[in-house]
Amino acid sequence: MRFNPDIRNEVPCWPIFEVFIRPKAGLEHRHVGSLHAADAEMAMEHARDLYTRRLEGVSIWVVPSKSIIASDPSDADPFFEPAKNKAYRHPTFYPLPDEIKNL
Amino acid sequence: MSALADEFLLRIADTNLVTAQRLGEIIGHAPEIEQDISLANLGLDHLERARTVYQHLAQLKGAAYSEDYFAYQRQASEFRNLSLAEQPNSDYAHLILRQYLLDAWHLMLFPRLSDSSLPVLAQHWRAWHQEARYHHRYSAAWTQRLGDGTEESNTRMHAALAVLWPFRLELIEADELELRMESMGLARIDGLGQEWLQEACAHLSTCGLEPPDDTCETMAPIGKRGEHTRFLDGILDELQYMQRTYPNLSW
Repeated sequence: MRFNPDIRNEVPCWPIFEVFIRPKAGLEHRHVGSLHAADAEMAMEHARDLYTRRLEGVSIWVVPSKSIIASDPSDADPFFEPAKNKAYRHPTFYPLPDEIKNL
Repeated sequence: MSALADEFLLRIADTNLVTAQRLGEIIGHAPEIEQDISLANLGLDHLERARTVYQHLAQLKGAAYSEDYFAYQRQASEFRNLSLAEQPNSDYAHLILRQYLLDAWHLMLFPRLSDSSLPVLAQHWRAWHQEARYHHRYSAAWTQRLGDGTEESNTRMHAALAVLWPFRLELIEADELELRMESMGLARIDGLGQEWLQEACAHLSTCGLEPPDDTCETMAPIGKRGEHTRFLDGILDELQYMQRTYPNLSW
């Protein structure tokens, strides 16, 4: 077991993995949650047991949470503000064909 | 013939019901919440196997019977489960080793039954074979982790082996009923025990685990004939408490 002081008040604990599931062929993997596991192999087993027990998916990715580089929430305003109030960036003038379900 | 097959099926169902109860006990107490959920899933699979066979047996027995009769209204002496299945979750090593030994056995049993002329439940043997592959993968991987893990986990696995290995005979040796099933062509189980023994010994040795040698204590295969270790009573006390207290209660 690896000791990770950031979680659970200094109780020795397995690292966290993020889980991504592809619901069916042709769709993209989507983030569904996270879990604890000692290593990648165990993370895959846990993901299978926790997130696909009702046939939710056809493919699983697990990623160590520490490998994810996240934007800084305290930096959100300057980071995202410049994209606000720019209606011209939204292509709302095109009718979508009915057959397209997942755009 | 049918009495013979029914008795044979009852062994499989009872072994799975008792295993489901043991796995149910761990819910809320597993080392990590992820294990909690995995073990509960496995337990539910065992419960579903037991229910399916009980439903089949109840149908044969007549309108007055249902699956509940088999789970709730029989005495310990009427249960035909393997003694191994009723052994307690003394620690995680005991639980994992017990599950591994049983999973490896089920993994070899089910395909043999789906090839047999046992005229019932054919589609279930096939489905349960698939399911057993996952169960086996889970418990074999954990046997590896604990056997190969730390000095402490290896010591605990050896302690579990000392307790559980004496129950191997009921898995290895076919008794009279099983031999008759075989000779009547109802269950192709010849060689099952030896195959199981080889797989178990081979896997344990890759996990740094050495089963006690043949001079170690050996339990007679009593469970299959309705005699049990002291642990089955505890399981039934809990499982049957409501029915004993309020006979014929329904939800």
